[in-house]
Amino acid sequence: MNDKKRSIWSWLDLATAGIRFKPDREAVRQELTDHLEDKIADFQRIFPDMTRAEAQDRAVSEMGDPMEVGRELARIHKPWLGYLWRVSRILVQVMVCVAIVGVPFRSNPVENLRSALWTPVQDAWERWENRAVSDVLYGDGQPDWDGERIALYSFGEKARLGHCTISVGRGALWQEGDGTSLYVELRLDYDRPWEAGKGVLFYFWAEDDLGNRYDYDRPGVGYRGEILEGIGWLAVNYRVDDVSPEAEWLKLHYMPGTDLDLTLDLTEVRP
Amino acid sequence: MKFDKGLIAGSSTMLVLSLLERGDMYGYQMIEELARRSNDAFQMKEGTLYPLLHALEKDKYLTSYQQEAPTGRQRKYYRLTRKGKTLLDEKKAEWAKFHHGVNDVLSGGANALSFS
Repeated sequence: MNDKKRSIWSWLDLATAGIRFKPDREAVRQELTDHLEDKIADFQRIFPDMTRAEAQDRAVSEMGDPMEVGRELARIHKPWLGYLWRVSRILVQVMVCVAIVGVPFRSNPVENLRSALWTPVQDAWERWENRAVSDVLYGDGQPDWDGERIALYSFGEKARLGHCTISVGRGALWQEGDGTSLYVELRLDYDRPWEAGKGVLFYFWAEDDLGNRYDYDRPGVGYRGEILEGIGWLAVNYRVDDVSPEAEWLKLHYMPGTDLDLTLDLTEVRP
Repeated sequence: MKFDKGLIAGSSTMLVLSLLERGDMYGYQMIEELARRSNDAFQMKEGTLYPLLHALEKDKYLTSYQQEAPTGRQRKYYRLTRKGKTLLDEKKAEWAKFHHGVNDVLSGGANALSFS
């Protein structure tokens, strides 16, 4: 019986194999299956002595050459039409979402779509960076990337910058490949909470006792990961790239014309 | 009696459209009706009906829908569209002319050679 039953499925497989768009292939297969079922039922009704296996076999033989049928069906059911229809449906849905989300706030739908697609990626990356830097500063110094923590610090320095206080918390010197980076925790507390803003984070630079200068950029001085915010405060992890292991101190500065002088002693290592 | 394949192929579209002129049908039903009306003269390989039906539907000569058949099972029914009716009428006219011309040749008629 299995051989006979297999002949129906073999016929159907061959007849529909050339239809590459799956919804079409399944619909056509169902229609042909229905036809075969009706044919088998009629044979058994007309010839009561005929077994089901014999009825199946005869029904398949009267369907014709499955390869020939398959070629014709494949010619008619082009996959690009089906995919085009599906893509167009998705595009319409995306455009509706963009219009609903974007129109009330911004006039550039392309920018809205770019932002809607990129923002989750960026957020995920920043959260990963945060966890990675936390491993450097608080963990056993073995985050999920190559490298080694060679020193740990508890800086505790504070300094005034305009109407806010900058505090430096923990720090760590991290060696990766040929380079050494300094990670530090930075917190900004504003006298006037409404003045708190991320823009301040882009104007720091540093220098060490060896005469090296580290400007804001990558590589250089820059924040890593998410910026944590509260009412009147910001907290972020900073990284200074390519710090010389021989440096004894690092001085943090702000943009010209400002009076920030925050010195980090790199010789007082936390045990 | 087995007919020349070319004869059948050339008239399959007209035959299928003609079946649906009298009412909506599903595939197996058309095969049965075709055999009945022709006294079993036309017994096409049944699988070859479906490429023809799908091509006609794709070109908007037919539409289709799902409905419960007399057997109690859901089946895909086909319906002749207005465009399909127009094509059927053209095919019938073409067939009538062809049929007339062939008969004239066979009977040795005076206008037998005129096919225009």
